[in-house]
Amino acid sequence: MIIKTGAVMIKAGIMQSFAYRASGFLLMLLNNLLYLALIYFLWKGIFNSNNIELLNGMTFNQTLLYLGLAVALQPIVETYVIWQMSADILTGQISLHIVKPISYQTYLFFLMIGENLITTLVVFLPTFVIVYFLTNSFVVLSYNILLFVISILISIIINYLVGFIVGTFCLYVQSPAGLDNMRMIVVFLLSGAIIPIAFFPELLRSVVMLLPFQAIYNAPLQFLLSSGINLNEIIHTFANQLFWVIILYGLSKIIWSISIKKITVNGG
Amino acid sequence: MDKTIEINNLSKEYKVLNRKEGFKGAILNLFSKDYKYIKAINNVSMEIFSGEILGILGRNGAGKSTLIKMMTGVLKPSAGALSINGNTPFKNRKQHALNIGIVFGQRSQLWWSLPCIESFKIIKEIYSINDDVYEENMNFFNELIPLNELMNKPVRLMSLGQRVLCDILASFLHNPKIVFLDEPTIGLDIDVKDKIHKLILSLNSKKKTTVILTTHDMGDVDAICKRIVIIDNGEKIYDDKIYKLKKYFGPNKTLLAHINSNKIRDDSVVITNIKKLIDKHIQLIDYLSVECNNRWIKIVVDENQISVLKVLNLIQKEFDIDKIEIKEISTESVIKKIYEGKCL
Repeated sequence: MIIKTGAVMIKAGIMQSFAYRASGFLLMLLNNLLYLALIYFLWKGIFNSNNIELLNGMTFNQTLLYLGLAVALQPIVETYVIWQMSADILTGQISLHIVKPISYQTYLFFLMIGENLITTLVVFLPTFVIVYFLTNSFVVLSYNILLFVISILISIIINYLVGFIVGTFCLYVQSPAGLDNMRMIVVFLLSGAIIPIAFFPELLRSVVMLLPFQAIYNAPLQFLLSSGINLNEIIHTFANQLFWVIILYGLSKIIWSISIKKITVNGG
Repeated sequence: MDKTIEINNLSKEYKVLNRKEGFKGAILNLFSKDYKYIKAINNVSMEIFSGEILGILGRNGAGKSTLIKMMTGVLKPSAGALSINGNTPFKNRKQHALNIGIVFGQRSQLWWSLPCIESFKIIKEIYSINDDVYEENMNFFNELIPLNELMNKPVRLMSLGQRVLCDILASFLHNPKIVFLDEPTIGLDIDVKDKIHKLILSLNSKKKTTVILTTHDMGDVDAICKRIVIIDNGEKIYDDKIYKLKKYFGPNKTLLAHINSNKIRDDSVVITNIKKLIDKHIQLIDYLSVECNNRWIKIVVDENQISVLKVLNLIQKEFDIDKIEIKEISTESVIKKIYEGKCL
């Protein structure tokens, strides 16, 4: 039942993104490519000036691959749920969503999936191909691709839940820009999307591994990067990701049900 | 008749910051803890029976929408009890949602950039409407309004009237027991209003749906409601059959006419002249009240006795008239009459 609802909504989400976002996709792709060029030259410079092969146990190709893929993953994983929520809250449109038999959280999730599916095709795939050739076909293409895809699906859920929890605070502070910036900086930095987690100082790294953010970018990337990943590591990564899904889902439900009582819808 | 909705001593308070003026005030507001409480709904009780069309009438800001938002489960009441089909809207949200349909006049539940039919398909899944019911309803809707051209049009390209019609149909799609219409005719012209009235009446009679309609337009309640509740300043000031109120506002229309001549200085002369004129030609002067102010003639006409146009025809033979205006009686004047005790 919920699957059929999801299918219809995802389809509508895709159609909706086509109605508006055609130019948005091109800009997103262009942004990705510019950012890719930036990290290529930045890290090339760092490796060359120190004249080293290995930095914190990673070669240049591995670093570039890690960060390049993190960039490529952004359109799949990233969520605009905070903006959507704040628009709904500020305009009062939210009153129409919370009188539906489907929860607002589920509704927004399907909406996001539809849009992100398209960005996956139009933005992720081209970026991925470029990264693949830029790093001299360094990606190991075998069964780990399957693990990577499953891991990504869980990442999407985790990042969405983080977004939804932060978005709930739009009910208290009416500034989506501030909230979303804060979320982006925290997520990007602590998830390894800007600097590989392997480069963090020992202490920070052990703290970061206890937080949910590494499960967003770092976890799926591990499957693509480490060639000989063993069963134990696979189970550990998935268990960690699923643990955060459950915790964040519970947390988002609690915070939302407390906050919704605060709602006031003025002006009709 | 069964009661579908029971409301007992319901109240809703909003906490509002006492804002200060000016730049200094704007900064002080950030730290101010000086709140005041506004009672949007104050101790309202009523019962609504299944299958009826109830009109909730009130001025802008009277508390109509707050009342509806509590009934739909959007807002949590500050005090009092509210039971709809045995559910407490705010608590049993999902169960409640399946039983009700909602249209907010200024908002749309339809997907803005998609053809209307896509929204209907989504609603079908969200409410788990089975195929037979969906088919049957769509066929029935099609009898009421030709849907073919509407359904394939993206919602953002629709006129306001078309959009509201689609929104109303969408709210009836899952055969809800109760449909809430919050100012559905806001900003619409008479033609579309009429279409909406007819649509609501036929949906109500076919499906036996309870319809609760808020409006500040006397014409809406006049056209479709048998019972009305009037809310003012958050309190219920009238709750009865509409015909009892109707004799005070129903057939009366106000005719305003402006005399285009500087020669006439004395308003009282005009009044006497008009009275004489009407007395001579139609002898129904008892049913009219005539006033004149700065060459604006104001005549309240009881349309059951004589038509406005007839009166206009008479006076324009005598005076050179350059502007006219015909007004329906307004919600404000009905409310004023209720306060004066005339309707009770």
